[in-house]
Amino acid sequence: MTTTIQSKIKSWITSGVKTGMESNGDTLKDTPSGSISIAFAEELSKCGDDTVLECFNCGTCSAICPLVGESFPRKMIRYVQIGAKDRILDNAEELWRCLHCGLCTRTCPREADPGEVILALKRFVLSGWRRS
Amino acid sequence: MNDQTEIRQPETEQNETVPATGQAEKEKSATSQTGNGKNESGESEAKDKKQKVGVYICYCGGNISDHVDVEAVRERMEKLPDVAISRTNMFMCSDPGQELIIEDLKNGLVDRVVVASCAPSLHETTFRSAIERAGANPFIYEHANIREQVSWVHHGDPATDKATTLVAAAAAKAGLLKPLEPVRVDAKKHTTVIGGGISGMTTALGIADKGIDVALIEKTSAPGGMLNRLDRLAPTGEYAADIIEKLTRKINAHKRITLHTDCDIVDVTGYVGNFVITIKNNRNTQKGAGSKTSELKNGAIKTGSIAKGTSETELHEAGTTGAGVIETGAIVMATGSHTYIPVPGEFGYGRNKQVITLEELISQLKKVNIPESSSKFSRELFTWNGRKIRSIAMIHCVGSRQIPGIHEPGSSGYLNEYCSRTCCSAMLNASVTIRKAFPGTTVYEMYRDIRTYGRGQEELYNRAAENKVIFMRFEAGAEPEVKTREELESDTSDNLRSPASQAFNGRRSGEPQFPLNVTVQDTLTFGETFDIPVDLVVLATGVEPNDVSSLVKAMKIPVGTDRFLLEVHPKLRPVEFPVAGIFLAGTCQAPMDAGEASNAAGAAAAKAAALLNKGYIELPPFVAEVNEERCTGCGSCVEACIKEGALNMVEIETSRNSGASDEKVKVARVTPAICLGCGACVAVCQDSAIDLNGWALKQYEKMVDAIVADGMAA
Repeated sequence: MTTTIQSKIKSWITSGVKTGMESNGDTLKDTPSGSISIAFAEELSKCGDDTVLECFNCGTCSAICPLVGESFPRKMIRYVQIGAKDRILDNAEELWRCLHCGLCTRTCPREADPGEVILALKRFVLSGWRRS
Repeated sequence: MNDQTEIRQPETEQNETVPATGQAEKEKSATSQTGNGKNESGESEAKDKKQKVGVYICYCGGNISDHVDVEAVRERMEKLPDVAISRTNMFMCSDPGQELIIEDLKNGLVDRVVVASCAPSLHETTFRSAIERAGANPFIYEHANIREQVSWVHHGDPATDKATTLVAAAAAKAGLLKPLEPVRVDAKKHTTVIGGGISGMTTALGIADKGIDVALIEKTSAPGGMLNRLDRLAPTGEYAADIIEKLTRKINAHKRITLHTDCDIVDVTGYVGNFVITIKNNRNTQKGAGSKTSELKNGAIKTGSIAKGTSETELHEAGTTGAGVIETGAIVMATGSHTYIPVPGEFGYGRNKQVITLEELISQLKKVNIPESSSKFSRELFTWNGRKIRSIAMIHCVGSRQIPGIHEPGSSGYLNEYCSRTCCSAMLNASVTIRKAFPGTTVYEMYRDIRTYGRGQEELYNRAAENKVIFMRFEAGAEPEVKTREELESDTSDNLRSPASQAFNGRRSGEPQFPLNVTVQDTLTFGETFDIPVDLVVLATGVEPNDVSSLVKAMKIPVGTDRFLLEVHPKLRPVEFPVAGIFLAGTCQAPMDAGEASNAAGAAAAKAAALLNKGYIELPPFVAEVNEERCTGCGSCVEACIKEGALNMVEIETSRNSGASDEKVKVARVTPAICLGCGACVAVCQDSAIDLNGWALKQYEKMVDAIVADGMAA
């Protein structure tokens, strides 16, 4: 079930024209190495985040996060930083586990505002969804 | 015992063994000196009357007395016939301790001094100068090491017994010590600085400001060295060109500095205070009037200052002959370094025009103006070779921190295992410049480890993050792979990745494709592998020392396994070579930034000026001396001598036989400034005509007698 939703979300996003990016199709999932979109961080700023490149990957946000294991939200933030859009979409469901308690934003030593990055990612995913 | 030893260990950095007392000084003066040293012969005095030896034994605050019964040693010493006085003190090196010696000398109670304490490298000079302050000759002193050689390695009665033996031997030797005078060598008040980079220029200015003439020798046509290839310097953003200009102007205006550009060094001979350097003009192609013009245009060579020199410096200036000789008192090596040249194919270098070194990038950035505040919406792109650059991969640690078994040696044939230190800052500095001036260009910094070390330079990392530089980290052995689009396509033709060009996404429709792809396994993203499409790859090539092997050979200066020149000791004798009168500064010594190079230059200048300031140099007197009355002129000592020029056969007029003053005989003669004091000559002399001052055969015999004597140890 989850997988279906996931792939749907993904195809919505990747085929979306709003981003102005080329369509990558579903092939991304099968590639041994991920590809990087150099314009993604900028793209995301339209959805409300402009601090993600401040992050220096210390992991404080993941350590303090009470809910989700597996390096959340650090991993998501890292994907945004390097523009690994496919990896974000592969794991998009994680975004909806976040409760927005704000602990990560409060403890971030770089004021990279991890909470806001997660919110922006949700908006990004949703905007692509609505479009389709 | 153990923990005490550990705590005390740092003090023992320069331990020497007891029989090697004075060896340090000998080595210091070692290699190449000559001159008119005067050795006073006090031998007859020493023979005639019995010496009054004072023995002073140190507790070292428990360091010695915890394991050696110091009072027992003192009592045993008092029984020795030669010993006039034996005293102990908690710290002999303290003022009250030294005062004991001074008082006894002044009161005539003793005329030979033995201190039994720590290693001679720590306090031998302390006690010699105390004796000097008492108005006596500092060489009537003998040192016994009963800390490193006794209390730190033995305990109980054996410790006390060994201390007794060592002190008794020292006292026995002291009875035969004679006053000596240091070897004095006249020194030219002139220094030659080799290398006209920032270190060489700063050294030259420092020395010249002390009133000493300087010849600054630069192999290229203009001073500046590595800084000529740099742009804005971290962390202040000051232009390297401005710094060079300021220094060059100062040098040209300084009446004591002569700058020789386009000059190679052919040979270096001589010794401290009296080196002779042969230089050769390397402007082979242009000669005569043409070259003169270029000199003037550069403002590089000042004519006239050569003759103006106040010292006896003779410079037969190159000019038309293309060769010259500089007589100089000291030499500073400031021969610098160059950047690593990647092996063809290393990260695609040499195969692809879009793979460049940091040095090449910096030369391009010189033309770039950084706007005060760039528009947030600016999409301006950096340009290289006429091509718009949308993204750059900056790869760190190229030719640095190479690991045996993982990395291949570079074009020099060597594996550079050291960190080049300056490239992290230089890369980030360049990244920030690009991001500020060209906000449309994305910059990926791919590093193994990153550290913008140094005061104020951490700020560079912050600035890079602020300017949205993207950092990725790789492991050694899993370096990023740089591939052209074609290479990648052929690689993946039978792969799942199809169409292969999908890796080059991220471009806007209608834009040209990215020519290069960098595959990196990024440990910051949990070791995941990414393909990064880029227009340009920049390699942070490290620092390699310039090849100065001919100078190294001529001057006999040490080189480390990393090929950088090696100073004597980084803390105790920085910027000094073991060869007296030769110093070093800057990146010929290790990778360092311009600020550090200037610091080293200041240190080298201070040391060279201090050495030459008096116009003469005093060297320790522990050298061989010939008794010409006894010498039969057989020459075996000259054959045995390991130091060229230290021993020669000379003809002297003698009155040995009948008083006929015109009779000539051959005898050996020592040049004290060159003599190493090794004693090889003493061992081969059949007539006992040659001996070592301060370490005479008789003194050894007395020491051995004392060591084997029964009954001393309880």
